[in-house]
This record gives sequence, structure tokens and C-alpha cells, in this order.
Amino acid sequence: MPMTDTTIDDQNNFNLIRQGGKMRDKGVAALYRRYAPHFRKFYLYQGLSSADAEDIVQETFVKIVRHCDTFTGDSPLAAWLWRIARNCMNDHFRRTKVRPTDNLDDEEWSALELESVTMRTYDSPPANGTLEDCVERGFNEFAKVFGERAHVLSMVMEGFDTAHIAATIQRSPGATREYISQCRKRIESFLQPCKEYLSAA
Amino acid sequence: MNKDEDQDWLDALAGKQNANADPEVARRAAALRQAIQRHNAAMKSGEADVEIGLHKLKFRLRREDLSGGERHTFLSNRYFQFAMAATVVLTVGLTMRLYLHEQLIQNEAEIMRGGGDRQIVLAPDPEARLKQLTSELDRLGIKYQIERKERKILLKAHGVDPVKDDVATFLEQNQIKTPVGMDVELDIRPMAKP
Repeated sequence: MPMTDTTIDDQNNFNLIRQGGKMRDKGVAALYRRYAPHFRKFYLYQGLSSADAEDIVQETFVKIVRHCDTFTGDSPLAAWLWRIARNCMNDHFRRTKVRPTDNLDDEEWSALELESVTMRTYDSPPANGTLEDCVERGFNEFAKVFGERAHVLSMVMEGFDTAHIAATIQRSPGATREYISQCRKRIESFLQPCKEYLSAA
Repeated sequence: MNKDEDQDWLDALAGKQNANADPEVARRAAALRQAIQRHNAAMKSGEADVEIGLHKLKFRLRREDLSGGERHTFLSNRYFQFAMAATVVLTVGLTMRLYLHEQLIQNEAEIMRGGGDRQIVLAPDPEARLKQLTSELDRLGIKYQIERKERKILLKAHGVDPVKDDVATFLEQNQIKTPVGMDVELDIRPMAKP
């Protein structure tokens, strides 16, 4: 279920956590049930294993509870939660000395993209394939290389509004719209071979 | 890619119908939507997995003393109770030594700590206390063993899951510290009578 009209619920549950006592457990449970699946999916899109993703989700919520009193309200709560989630993931990458591809600079990015597109132009789509099969292959390849961008496209697909996507990727709404537009360009380059199916349809 | 086409593509990706959208753009976006749905289905965790994760989290929060404020109160009570019990025992022991020539308990800390993860329970009637505790453990379906050494009764309970509400209530009402693992050892000793 997309996280749309839930800002008030999130704040109420977070307040329960800050309150402490028996209500804290109630707040933790509610926030966990809402955010844990999304955090987990984000980590999987970043190339983490299921086991690592689960561990980092746990670590994220422990930190949310431990540091709940440090939330000042200067930024939206969702952005604060996602910041903790991302930091926990980055801590994991630092510990394991793995660098997610979405952290490439522009030059590295362009080189990687060009290589990916060049490789794919040599792949002829199977004769009896469909547009949908081709696009699925293309997206899976795209997700392996550009996990963060694939995750953003997934959020668009699921109906998340710009504000929630902005909180996830830690950008302003305007920068987020531009980022989404760039994500479209990137995925379209991966789906170039699939245009054959469109003309054949 | 112009802005309108971009928006048409995004709308189609999100599953929104738009009769004015370019059919090719709409079809590509619809195919991508389907691809993402399949990709996500492969990584989706079930409700049961979320609940298991929540259960683990609750356990960890309790262990790290981040679960609610009641545990602090409970711990404070427990140490207060031990401090009171130690004071009573020392006072009574001194009195008894003076007037009844019984042996003084030498080390206050011995009463407070016990050995390792063992928790000491001082009771006026250890047998009655044992009966009360085992009765509750039976009700909760928690397995236990009883060992007797000299005047001490050792009650070892296994599979004590503090995340379960009824178990947490049992621990709290009996002033038993939440175990780090799932085993509880209680050393039930007689409390000296004044």
C-alpha cells in the first residue's frame, strides 16, 4: 500500500515511541509494519542480500528508537527516518568495503552507461519474445546496475507522491522531479532493443 | 523528451489512465510497470516475515533497555527490593548473632548478586514461593527444572520469551529480571525471620 495520507499516523506513532512506557512498543510496532517492508525493498534494490537487508532493517529501527529524542521537526519525519535507513546501509557498505554503483560520479556513470548500452545493442531480442519480456529483461539489468534509480521508478509505479520519494532520496521536491526525469532517460536507454517489438506490434 | 510526454509516461507507469497520451509512450510505460511489479514480487516479504522481524526487534529493544520506560521502573524496584532485603537480613543477622548466636551473613554482595546469570529470590517460605512460581510457569507452558542444594532451591526455566505479554507480566509481577537469552535461573532462598 503506497505511503500517501499517512503523515499524521507516522507522527502519532513516532510520538508514542518518544513517550516511552507501554505505548512505545505500540508505536514501534506500527512504524515497523509501515516502514520495514519499504526499507527492506530499498536495500534489496541496492544489491544487498535478503539476510543483510533484514539485519540493516533491525539496526535502523534500533537507531530510530535510540535517537527518537533527537528529531527536531525541522525536516519531515519521513525524511528523518529514511536518513537513518540510508546511513545504516552506508555503514554496512563501509564495513564490507562495497561501493554501490549509484555512488558513481558523472564521468564514471556515463562510461558505465555507454558500456551497458553498447553491450545491449549486440543482443538480439529472441524471435518469439514479446515487448513485455524484453522490458522485463531490460529492467532487471537496469536494476542490477542502477539500484537506486530502479527503486525510484518502483516508487513511482507504486503511486508514491513526490514528497515521499523526495524523503527517500533526501532531495527537495524540485530536485526529485528532475531526478525522476533522469531515471526515465536512463531506463529508456536500457530498453532501446525493445523498440523492435513496438514496431512489430 | 518534453514535459508533457514525461508526465504521460510517469502517469502510465503509475497506472493512471490518460486518453490523450501517446499510445507508444503509454504502451512502453505499461510494459515497464508490469516488469517492475514482477521484479518486486520476487523480493516481496510476506506478512509473516514482517511479524517475525518485529518480534526480533522487540526482543532486541528489551535487551538493550530501549523498550518502554517500565523496565527501568521494574529494575529500580528490583534493586530497591534487594537493597531492602539485604538491610533486613543484615539487621536481623546482627540481632540474632547478639541474642541467638546464629551465623552472620558475611557478604552483603553475596545476597545481591548470586552467581553468573542466576537471580536470587529471598522468600519467607521458599517451598510456597516455588509452588507459586511453578504454577505460573505451568500456566504459561514454560518448561522448568528444580534442583535442591542444602537449604537452597534452584528453579531453572527454559524458553522464557519476554516479548510475549503474559510472560512479561509474569516476570514483572514476580520481580524477575528480563533474561538476555531465554533461560531464567532462580535461586530461592529463605529470608531470615525477624
